Amino acid sequence: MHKLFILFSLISTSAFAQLNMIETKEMRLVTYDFGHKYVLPHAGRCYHNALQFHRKLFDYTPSEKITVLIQDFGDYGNGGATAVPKNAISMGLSPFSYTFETSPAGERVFSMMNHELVHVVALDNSTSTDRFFHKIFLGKVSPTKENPLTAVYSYLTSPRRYSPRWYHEGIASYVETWMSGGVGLAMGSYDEMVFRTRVLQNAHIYTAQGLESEGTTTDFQGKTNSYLYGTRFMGYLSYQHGPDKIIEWVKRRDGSRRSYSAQFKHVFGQSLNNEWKNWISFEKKWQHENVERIKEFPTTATQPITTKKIGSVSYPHYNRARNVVYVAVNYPGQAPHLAALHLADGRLERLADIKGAALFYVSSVTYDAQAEKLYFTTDNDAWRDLNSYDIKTGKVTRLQKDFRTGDLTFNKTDKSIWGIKHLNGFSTIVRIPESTEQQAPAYSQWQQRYTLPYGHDIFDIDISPDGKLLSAAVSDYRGNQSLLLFNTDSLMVNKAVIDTIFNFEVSSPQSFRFTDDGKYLFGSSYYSGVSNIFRVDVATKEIIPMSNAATGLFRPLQISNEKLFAFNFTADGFQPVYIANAPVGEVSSIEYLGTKTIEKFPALKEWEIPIATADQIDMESLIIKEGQYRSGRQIKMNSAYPILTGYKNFIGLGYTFNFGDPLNFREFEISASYTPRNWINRLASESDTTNLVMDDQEQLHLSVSGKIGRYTFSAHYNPASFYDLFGPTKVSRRGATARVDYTRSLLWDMPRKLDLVLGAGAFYGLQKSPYFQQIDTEGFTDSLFLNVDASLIYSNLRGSLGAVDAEKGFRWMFRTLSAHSNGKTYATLIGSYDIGIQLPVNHFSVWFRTAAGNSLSEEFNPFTRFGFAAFGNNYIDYQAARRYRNIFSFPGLSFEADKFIIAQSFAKGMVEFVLPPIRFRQLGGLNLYSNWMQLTAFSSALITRENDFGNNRFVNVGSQLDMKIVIFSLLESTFSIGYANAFDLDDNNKRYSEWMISLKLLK
Amino acid sequence: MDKSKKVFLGVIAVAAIATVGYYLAGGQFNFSSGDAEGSGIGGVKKAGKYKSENATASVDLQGAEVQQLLQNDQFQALMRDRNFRELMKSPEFTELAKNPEFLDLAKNPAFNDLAKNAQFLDMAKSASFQDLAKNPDFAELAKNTKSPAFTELAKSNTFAELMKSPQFMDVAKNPAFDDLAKNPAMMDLAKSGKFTELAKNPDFAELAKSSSFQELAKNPAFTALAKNAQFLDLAKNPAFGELAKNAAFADLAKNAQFMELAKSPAFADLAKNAQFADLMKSPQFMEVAKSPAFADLAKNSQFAELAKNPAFGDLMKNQTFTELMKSSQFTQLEKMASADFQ
Repeated sequence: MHKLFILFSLISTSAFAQLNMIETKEMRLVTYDFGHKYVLPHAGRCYHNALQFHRKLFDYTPSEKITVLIQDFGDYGNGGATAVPKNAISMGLSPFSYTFETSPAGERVFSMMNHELVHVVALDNSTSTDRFFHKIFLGKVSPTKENPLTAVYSYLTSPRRYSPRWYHEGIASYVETWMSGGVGLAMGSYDEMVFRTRVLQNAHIYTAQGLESEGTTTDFQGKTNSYLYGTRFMGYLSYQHGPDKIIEWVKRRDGSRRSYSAQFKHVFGQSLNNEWKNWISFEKKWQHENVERIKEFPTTATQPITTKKIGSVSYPHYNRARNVVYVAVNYPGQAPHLAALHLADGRLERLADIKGAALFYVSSVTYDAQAEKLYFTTDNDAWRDLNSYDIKTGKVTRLQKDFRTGDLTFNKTDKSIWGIKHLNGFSTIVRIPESTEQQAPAYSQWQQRYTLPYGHDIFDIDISPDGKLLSAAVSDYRGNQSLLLFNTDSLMVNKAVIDTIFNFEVSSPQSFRFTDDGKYLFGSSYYSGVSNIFRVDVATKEIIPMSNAATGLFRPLQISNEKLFAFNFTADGFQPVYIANAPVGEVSSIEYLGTKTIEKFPALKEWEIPIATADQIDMESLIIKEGQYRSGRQIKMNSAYPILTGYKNFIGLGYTFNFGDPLNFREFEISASYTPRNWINRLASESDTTNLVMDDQEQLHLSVSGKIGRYTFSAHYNPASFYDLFGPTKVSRRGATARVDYTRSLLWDMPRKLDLVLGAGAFYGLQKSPYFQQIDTEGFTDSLFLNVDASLIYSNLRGSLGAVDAEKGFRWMFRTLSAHSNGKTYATLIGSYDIGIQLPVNHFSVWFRTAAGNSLSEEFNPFTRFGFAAFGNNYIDYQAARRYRNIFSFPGLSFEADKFIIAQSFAKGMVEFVLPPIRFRQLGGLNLYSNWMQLTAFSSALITRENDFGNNRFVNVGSQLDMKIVIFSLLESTFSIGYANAFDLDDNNKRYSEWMISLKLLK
Repeated sequence: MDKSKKVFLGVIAVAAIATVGYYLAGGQFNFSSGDAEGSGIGGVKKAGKYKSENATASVDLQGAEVQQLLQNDQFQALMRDRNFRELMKSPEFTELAKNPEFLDLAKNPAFNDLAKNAQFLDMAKSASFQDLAKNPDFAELAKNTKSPAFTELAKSNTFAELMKSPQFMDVAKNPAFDDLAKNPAMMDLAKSGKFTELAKNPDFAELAKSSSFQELAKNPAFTALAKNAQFLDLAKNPAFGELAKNAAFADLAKNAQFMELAKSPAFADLAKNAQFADLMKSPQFMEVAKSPAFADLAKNSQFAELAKNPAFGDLMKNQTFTELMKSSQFTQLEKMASADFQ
């Protein structure tokens, strides 16, 4: 769900001037592209059909109209939903990724609408108490880190939002499965395999809290574990207690408990933790029984090539001469990369990083053995790029950007690459020729060969050695999946001449590839419920099982007549193994928990709803308005709530009003507060005497801020902050400021990003530097300063699976600021450059951070000097926990020290070691736990120049320990403790010490 | 009918047209979920996986067939072409794009050649040329396939020189010149250079009184041209006489670019094309032709290829599509496509 916010912010950044909207009494359906129009009536019907079902199942009445955005921002289908502050759904049109059958096939708009609406129901359904708080706060409150009390208000207005992801995804996937007649994760073969493997290999099955704290972060399956565990737990509850019980658990109506865990106890009569344990016991028994079924016939022996589990894997490619398999891998601790697996000794050689790796297929990789080049995709979760890797030189070249094509395969006969392009929700077979008539660079163009009708997804293609046949798996609306052969000559004239080898029905034919002689296709399928290897005789279409796996075997390659290469599924990821290249006699099947549940509770069949056709739901009659979605006109008040503020050393009270449109393209906030003179903050330090005094005109505080597309604006009068109540760092200032910023991304190729920020501001009545609290600027309270500034900020930061911070990459920034006052101009320049290197130990990196700045003015005023001091964290804080990385932080030299550094120019360097995090599987309870702790150590050197305050040369050394804490499943906070010593090199290495302790609230 | 209704009907219209195009293009997908079902895999027990018996499902979509074109590589390349996008924003182009003659013409290689012709593109910006293009006489002259004199003559430097001369244009406008030109005997005399015989003709005598003719007669180019058979053919053509009276033609005749253009084989070929002649009269075409984006687009081989695709023509006529293309959101879409978010 959090992705929804990212998505909306991206759309907002790109500032669509026009979005088209269809409105009914219950829905706003928004899109932006002509290419999506074909699906709008269908999406509208799916929405109304699903909503009608959910109203009945969950006794749900929407608190407001739900806004649905149809988009095509990714090459694979995705969805997101929220109900805070407004009900909204985002739905990506692309086909799902069927890798390893981690997603079910079927009609995706139908299944996504069923799924996402469950999220809205679970979040938006309310009791009379919730609705009372809606009235008090004039809506549902979204928590903001600037005002942490909003977390409390948010819990009062939308309590079920504060439930773990596995709970939300579990119920949504479970209900979706039965709404689709059994197509979904509750009947998932991959899901059965995951738990069977964990039981078989005696691997840890996470507790409910351990899943959140460790399972979704260190495991190679990442956040997919929320879906796996959540759906499985719901499946167990349904099987044991009946499906009505889980619905009762999720329903929010009068008499229900606010917290998801309390409601669990209310419905099931025992604690969630206890029942989770019961599930684990049940699961072990269930899976042991399935293993026994598998063992009815001899299981296939696997010969590991390496003991290393390499997480997720792409399709492998074999170089016989070198006895090497090329494969893309993604496992916790190291950035995803192309690798050469040396079959002789099992050594995994890193070749090149893969930007934007997919969680399961990592990258679509194909291989030109003759040219010794690998072709692979990057940005796999967005719009994919095509790249080449030259094995001889190690050079990576990007061939096509955003070509949105994967499932690559190489045609040896004409050296063309073939693939599947996803656009507007359609799959198109494309050919990427090596050369063209226009003499374009190699593989820089693509050709449409055949576009499949909507609802038919095609994947895992291969071209026969003679170039005559293209094999592929193709799915339909109902989730049936067949292995097909296309005639490539026909495809060259945009026609599909198809030969169906076999309809595997709801089990997917995965990774079928031709052997070198073209006689056979080897691939895998969960046909028996377990992923086994199959061999297809291309001439006769005879299919023969080649394995009887206990866990699951995938992506086979024929190495010789005696052995096959394959990936064996383990609890820690895929392991490269050999198996015998010989047919097996018989293979038995396993049982599915879902099947047993529907046999036990046939009422689940009544959950099935049809894909509504135009005859069943007449969209024309439902539409009340068609036109454009104008975010400005859609702006309404989201919520209003009281705030607590700190101003200097005083405490104040006020109110904030928050406005926005449903898709959050535009939002603004107005705050007003008042600080009584006698409300003294006893926690505040009295070392800064300016903070002890508050004039009459300083008692009122006003603030307006907002964003419209690329523009952000703010205006403050005597700005105050909640966090000024706690600790040495103060952002409250006397005076009035107004500022407008324009941000434009000159480069957006995530994680590579180059932003240009242009800003203009006005300051009046300043008592201090607006940026450096240690710089008092008496004599400027009657001066008006007009500022303009420009910044260029580039970042390319990466991390591996399970990373808690960036582990490699670099970042630079250049900023110039010009202040104007009384006819004079004061200019300053600042630049920084950081580079991080990943060390061989997993999650261990070293960073070098440098910065320099210069004020071009000798004259002293609020904008001509820089200040350096302290860690910078308050006791209670909301900004970055590792503030010691800021250019103007200097740990060791606290704000309380008798020495302060004010500079006209400076140069600074820092070396920082970021140690691997320590993960906690079980530290805390369901509603308050810690999931990791990480230690960093740093040392920096600073040289400054200032005529009046003197030049300085300082070094420091310090360390910080950060611990992530999660409250109510969603509210992440960071507890930090740090210590540093600073040494004044110009004063006999005089030592200054500083302790820092801080709790950073919210993300 | 409100705008949104029109948009909806537009989508339906595209769907209907594209459906036909889709099947004509051979886009049939014969895969059926029932194909090869039921035989099983020898030795393997199929999993007892529940699946609803309600296995038939259909999805009603509106206008999905147009995706055959939207997914086309050339179309996608065109969508990313800045010039195409610029043109799509122009109301003149979107109006023109609905014109079947334009789409027919766009398939003509001569048109593509001409569209790449720098002189034509410069000329298109000239007000005189635009006025002239609307003149039926010019069109008549230009497309006169029986008498290719104009285009042939236009290739002659002598003619080009003469056309720039104001005296020549004065003479050409003179009704006496018209009459003279219509007299075959006089023309033969002119060819032979027997001016003494010619002088006996009252029309010529009338013409000779004109100061312009007197000036012109001193011009060696004229005397050379007067012997030129093609010129004399042209002079006989009533359209030429009419055209010569046209102020715009007079202006244009002085224009070196026009003369260069007239020499161009592409122009000569296209001039014979009735559709081109019609288009030249269209104010939208002249507006579009003036645009630098058109000049760049015309050089784009993908545009020429796409113009041959019937579905492209249909899409261009679709109001919903063209409205969307004009809107600023299309620019944003392009940015999304390049993922630069600029």
